[in-house]
Amino acid sequence: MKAQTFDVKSVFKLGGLGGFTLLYLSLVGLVSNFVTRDVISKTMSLSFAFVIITTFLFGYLTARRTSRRNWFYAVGGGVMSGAIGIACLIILVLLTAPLNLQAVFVNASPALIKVLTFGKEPFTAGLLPLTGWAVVSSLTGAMVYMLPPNIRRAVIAGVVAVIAIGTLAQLLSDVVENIFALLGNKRASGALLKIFFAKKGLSVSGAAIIFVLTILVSAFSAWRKQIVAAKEQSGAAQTQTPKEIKIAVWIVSLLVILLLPNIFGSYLSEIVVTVAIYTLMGFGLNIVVGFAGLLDLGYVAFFAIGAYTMALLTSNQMGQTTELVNTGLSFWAALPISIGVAVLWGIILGVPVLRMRGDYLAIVTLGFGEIIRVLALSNFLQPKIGGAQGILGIAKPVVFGYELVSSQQLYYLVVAAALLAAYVSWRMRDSRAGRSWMAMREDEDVAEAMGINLIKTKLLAFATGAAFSGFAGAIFAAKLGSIYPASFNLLVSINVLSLIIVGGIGSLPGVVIGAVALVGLPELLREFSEFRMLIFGALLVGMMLFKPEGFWPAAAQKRELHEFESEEVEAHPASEAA
Amino acid sequence: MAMLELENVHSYYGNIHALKGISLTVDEGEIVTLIGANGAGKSSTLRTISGILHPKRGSVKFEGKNLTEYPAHQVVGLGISQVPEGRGVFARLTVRENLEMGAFVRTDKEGINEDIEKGFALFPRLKERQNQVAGTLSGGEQQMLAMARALMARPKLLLLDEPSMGLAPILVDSIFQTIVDINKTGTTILLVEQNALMALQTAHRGYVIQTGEIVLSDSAVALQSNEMVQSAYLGH
Repeated sequence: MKAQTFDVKSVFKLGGLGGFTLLYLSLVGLVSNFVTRDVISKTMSLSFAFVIITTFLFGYLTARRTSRRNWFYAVGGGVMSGAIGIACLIILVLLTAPLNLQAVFVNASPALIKVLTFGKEPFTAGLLPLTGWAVVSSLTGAMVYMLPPNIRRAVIAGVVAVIAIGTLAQLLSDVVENIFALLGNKRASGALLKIFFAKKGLSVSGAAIIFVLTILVSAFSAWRKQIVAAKEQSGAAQTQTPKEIKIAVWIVSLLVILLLPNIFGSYLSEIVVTVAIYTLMGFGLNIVVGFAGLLDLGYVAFFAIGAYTMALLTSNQMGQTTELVNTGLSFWAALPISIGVAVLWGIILGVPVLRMRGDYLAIVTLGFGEIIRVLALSNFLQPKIGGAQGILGIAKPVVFGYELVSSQQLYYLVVAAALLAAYVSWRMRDSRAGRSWMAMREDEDVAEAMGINLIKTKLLAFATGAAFSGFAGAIFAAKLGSIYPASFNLLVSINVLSLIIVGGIGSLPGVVIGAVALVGLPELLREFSEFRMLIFGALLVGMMLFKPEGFWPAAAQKRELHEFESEEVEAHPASEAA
Repeated sequence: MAMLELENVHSYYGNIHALKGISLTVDEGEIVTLIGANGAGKSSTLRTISGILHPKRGSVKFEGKNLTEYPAHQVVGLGISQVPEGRGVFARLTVRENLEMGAFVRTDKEGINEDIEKGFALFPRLKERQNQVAGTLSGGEQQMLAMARALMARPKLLLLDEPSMGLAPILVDSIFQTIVDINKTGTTILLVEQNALMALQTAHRGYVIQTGEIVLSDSAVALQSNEMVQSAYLGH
């Protein structure tokens, strides 16, 4: 049978692709810029990690194509593809000086060569260890593929955990310190931190412990899943989590939510607040786009309207910088008004677009978003709402006499708002309104024939979406204390739309996951400065390729995108053999 | 008095004059069929009855009420359900969810569940697939689902738009048998069809529509032996 032969073509294809990836990472500067940044202290720098993760990944992928359940083929394929990949990099190293590549590729620098050759002199001597490491890591990748699925998953989880924790070591060690500070045990934290973290990155022992622990946890959960599945198959009564455990889980999560700002410290809290504001907006847009299927690209408009209403009503500078009177309302008095005004505008936008669908609706809403921003920026309204100078002196929320100023304090307000939005979305989804939205999304004419009032249903979606966005805008204004038209650009709309797509359109947990991935991650990756968006873009493309339905899809999308999956898997070997 | 009465109805799509003075009646308990070629105005007639298309002139009366005064979404509440052309099932909802959507105007939970069971009794295939998404059903199953869903509103009058479209002959027979069964339980049916032979064998009376006008109306038996119908629609 032809299926038993060694698939040389795939080896060259994947090896070449691996080589291309390595060249790309080197030439954009990811490899040369992070030598001093250790993942595992003094053992593996981030630069080096980029190289061996790539070869590991392509070794794994090659083995998947070539193995045919044969260790020899798998290992052969992995090693060959690793060698091909690293050959590309060696050619780059050798050609850099003679061809003066740096004139074209700024990052093909002596620094890069120094990294790749471990600083050895003459540099060609360093090529041997480079090749060695690459081949070993692609070989490891190939062997990991050959492990039984459960163990394989555990090992990969271990590798990912070490790299992720190592990359974010600084932040995480702060978090650990904060936890122990809360428990009032500074000495233990010092000892623990010493075991896990070095000055830069993880310590070797920490990396080893994390690797082993992750494998154990992953194996344990796989084992538990098997037992549960076996129990269900044998027809035993449905395994239900005991009530005590459920209550305990609730209490622990509540405690974590309450203590999070103290655990996270100010920097991470700031990120959480931003994520929560986007989550709040995400829940709103999820109703409009996810439930009702109305593609709204001007969602930022309601965010701006909520923010400006809050600003105009509470700023203590009104009357000084602008002509409007200083109403001096408190945050809490202005909040319902801000939401109300946003809802009103949601309906005002909704009425003219009632008969529009799809692309046309997207264009009109896009225009609406821009109109609001341009109006805020205009000279025409400048005497009223400040034009490009924006509005300053917006009141902070006051709770029981305490003014919420820092992110660690505002956190509670924002998280409460996001939880409220989640609850409202959840209840609405399962109500008659939710039903009508979904029917309308599938087919407007048929929905109408079922007795659904399309006008009411659409306006309700726009109004609810606008309410959440206006709420977010009001909090945003109070948080910053000053707002400028520049904060309300198209990118906000795009970001919110992207986050619900990444999380899984129409899915409520998906909104949170999407916000963490799309808003939180770029903030966490801030130290990668100019590479931030590059990494982020790669993550997005990868996600759309491998998980197009989002990280936590709603039931309908999951069914739609994966209904043929089982057939595909069966069809695959057949097409290869042919 | 007729249950449904269209009198001199003129409907337009923009400037296109789709219905040029349609008059027809459907009496309670009947199966009436409207046959005609592509683009003759069959579906436009149904769309006018269900309120999606508003007639410029003429009257549409259902049990004495003037249907043109009601918005499309209220028509179902009056007792008229439609099985749209091309089935129009909610592809990403499950079979059961589709049926529940059919009962959107009703609030009696127990009655709804009873009617879902009735629908499953009528189409046992749907019961087997009640948790499957409608988009993955075969064409025939989707047609069954669309019919079962329309019945969920407990209609007095059921409008069927080309139920035989794109189905295998054996399925067409069973669908038409079900139409007769539904009619026997007391539901009046207006059936729009291109498959004139099947339609005339099933219905009590029939109308022939050509380019927006009714050109013939008679009992189904008489229409089957009519020369014009035979040459134009039955291929004799």
